[in-house]
Amino acid sequence: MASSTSCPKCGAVLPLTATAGLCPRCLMAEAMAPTQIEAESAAQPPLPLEQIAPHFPQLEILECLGRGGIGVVYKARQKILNRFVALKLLAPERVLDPKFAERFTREAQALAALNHPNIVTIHDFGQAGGFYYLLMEFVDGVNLRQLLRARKFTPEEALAIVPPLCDALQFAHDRGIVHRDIKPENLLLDKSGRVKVADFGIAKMLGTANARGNAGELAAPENATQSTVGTPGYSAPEQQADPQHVDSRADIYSLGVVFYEMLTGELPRKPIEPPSRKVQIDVRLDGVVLRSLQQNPALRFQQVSEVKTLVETIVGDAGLPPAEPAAQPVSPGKSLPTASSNTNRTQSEQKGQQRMHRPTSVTVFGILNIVKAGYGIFVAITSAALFLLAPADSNIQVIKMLHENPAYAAWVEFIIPLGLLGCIVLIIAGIGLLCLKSWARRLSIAYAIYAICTGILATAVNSIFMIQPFFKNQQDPQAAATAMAGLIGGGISVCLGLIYASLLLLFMLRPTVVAAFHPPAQPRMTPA
Amino acid sequence: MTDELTQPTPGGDFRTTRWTQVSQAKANSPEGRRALAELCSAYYEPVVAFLRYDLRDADAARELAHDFFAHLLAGEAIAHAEQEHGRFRSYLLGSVKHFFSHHREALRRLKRGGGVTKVSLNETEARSVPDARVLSPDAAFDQQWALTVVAHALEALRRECVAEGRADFFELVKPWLTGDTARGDQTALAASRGMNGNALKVAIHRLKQRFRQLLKAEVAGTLDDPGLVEAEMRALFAALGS
Repeated sequence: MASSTSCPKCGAVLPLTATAGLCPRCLMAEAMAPTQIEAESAAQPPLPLEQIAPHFPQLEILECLGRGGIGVVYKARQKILNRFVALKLLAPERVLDPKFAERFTREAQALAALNHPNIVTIHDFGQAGGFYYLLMEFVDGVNLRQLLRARKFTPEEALAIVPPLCDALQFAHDRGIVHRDIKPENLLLDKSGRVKVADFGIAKMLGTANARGNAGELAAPENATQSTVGTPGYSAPEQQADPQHVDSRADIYSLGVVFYEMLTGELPRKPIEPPSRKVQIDVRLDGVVLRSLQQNPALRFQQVSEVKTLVETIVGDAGLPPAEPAAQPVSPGKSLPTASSNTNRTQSEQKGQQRMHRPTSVTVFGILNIVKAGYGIFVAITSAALFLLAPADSNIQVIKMLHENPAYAAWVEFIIPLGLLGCIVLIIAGIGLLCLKSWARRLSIAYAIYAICTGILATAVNSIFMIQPFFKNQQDPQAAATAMAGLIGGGISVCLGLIYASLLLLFMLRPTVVAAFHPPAQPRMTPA
Repeated sequence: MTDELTQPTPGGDFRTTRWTQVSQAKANSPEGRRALAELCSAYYEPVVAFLRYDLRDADAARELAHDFFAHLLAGEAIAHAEQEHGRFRSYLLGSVKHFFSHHREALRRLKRGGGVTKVSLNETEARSVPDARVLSPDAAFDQQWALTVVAHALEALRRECVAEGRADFFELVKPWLTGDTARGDQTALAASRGMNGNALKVAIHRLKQRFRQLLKAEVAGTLDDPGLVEAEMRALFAALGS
């Protein structure tokens, strides 16, 4: 074999003569990993689910959640535990360091020990089917990037996110783990508005042995695929210059950038403009943000908990009650659960966002519900009036039956209040639909099912009662005709009611309507 | 995708044959034989690597490889091509193993028949002391195969650049094909070629893209099903791993 030294980049010992002096492994790795520019428009499909599933027999692989520079994430269900998890497969060509397996295990163990409500938990890790994988908590929500794209945050909303974020980071720092890649894509918010930090330490796991890193070199966009230097725009200057020697203060810098972006909607540019000059916030927040963004780590906050304390002090002093995550569904169109915001601008902005997202057909059904309910109430009241006020010796068939047939009277006494109840429920549902309340959809479905059942029941019972006299008075054509008329007349209105209820039910089950009330919130990963 | 694969480059003998042509061709058709001959001449080294594991001697391995290919091309080897999951690599490895086991049998019979009773110490010694650094024959085959694939793709890229009159550009820029190295030198290089920094970045990016296409085409040429290219590339990359 031709003499070959080990490649300084990947450590492989391979002959170089056939490949013009270049390391074949590095050549292939580079050719397999799409470059930054291509990754965003890559037609490279993730592995079809059927190819992954056999390697994970204990999981039911459901769908691909996203693809990034690190690998692909899938939503899966643990069959036995019956819970959702996120399966992250690390792309093999990203693994250039031959000592990867050892480092991976060490890092994964450290991460698994991070048990904190604001950190995405690692359940399991290992190797299967040629891939390294991580099994993580599935967060049913959106990431901060998606929210930022929807609109800027109000100061209150931003301030709601920062303290739990600080908690998570401090917890990790206390255990010697630095995230190294804090950015909006890695900050997830679940349905209850709780923030969770994802991908802790993944950057360190994938880091290449950067033996030739020159000090003072700034990371170019292509270098973004090397995760140890973080993401351009969010990573601290010392991280870009010397990725091997960063400490927890790099995370503080990244936090500062995210904070700035939440408040102003942009990344901080040199020369840094204090956020209070761009938006209306407490000037003391400027101090927090600017100190986090100090180029020299020694001048920043030395502990993340200091950031949290300062932020909470400012919030407390300003008289804004500290915000807590409330149990409300979160969507790009809705506001985050916050303390009562007292600016009209924010409220109308929120309502405006709501109107933009609500499909007009929901409005239509909301109005129809109210109209139908109104009609139903009208019919119920007039029927009741008719039965109560008509004289006992009236010629009207139903009145005769009412007085002659105690069963029929009992039935009428039963069905009219039931109908009224349904109408009231329908009105409430209609109003709820117009306000795009999530319970309104479920209430409409419940009403529809109820209406269909009672409609069928009513038709059946009415028919039985109407047919009796029909058979009794076979010789009396007029009575028979009246009975028939009663049957048909009642039948038509019940039919219409049934049709409406069915339409309502089908409409409420449509995916677009479901989305309007429960927007599909998946953490999307963009290339690192 | 098909167009990329069959596009002949000017002046290069870029292989347009596909393994499909071989496996679908009937045994005695001239096209099938020609296609197989072309593929075999391109993937000669992996067979040598496999044989060298047992024979230890490079020359003996080459000679035996020559015999093997002669046997392959003369015979009805194409008949069981369909069984190998549409991969030329699997097919060739299977054939070589088959051939080699017959060869060893014949050798053993010869030795016994020739009256030489003493056991060849070299043979058993080589067997019983496994060299930890040396790969198993299958792994050696696969590794050499991967090397061959990469080398072919790189050579094809070089020939393309030469044909376009950019031979010196290729020589200067080829280190970047293994990933970003010595970033600082890019500015000097750009200046020397009369380009600005960004133009050079784009040119490098395009070269990388072309290399990727050529590598994929090279791999696809040994497969029945183009959809398996990604999986095959992953397998080859794993074979290169230490």
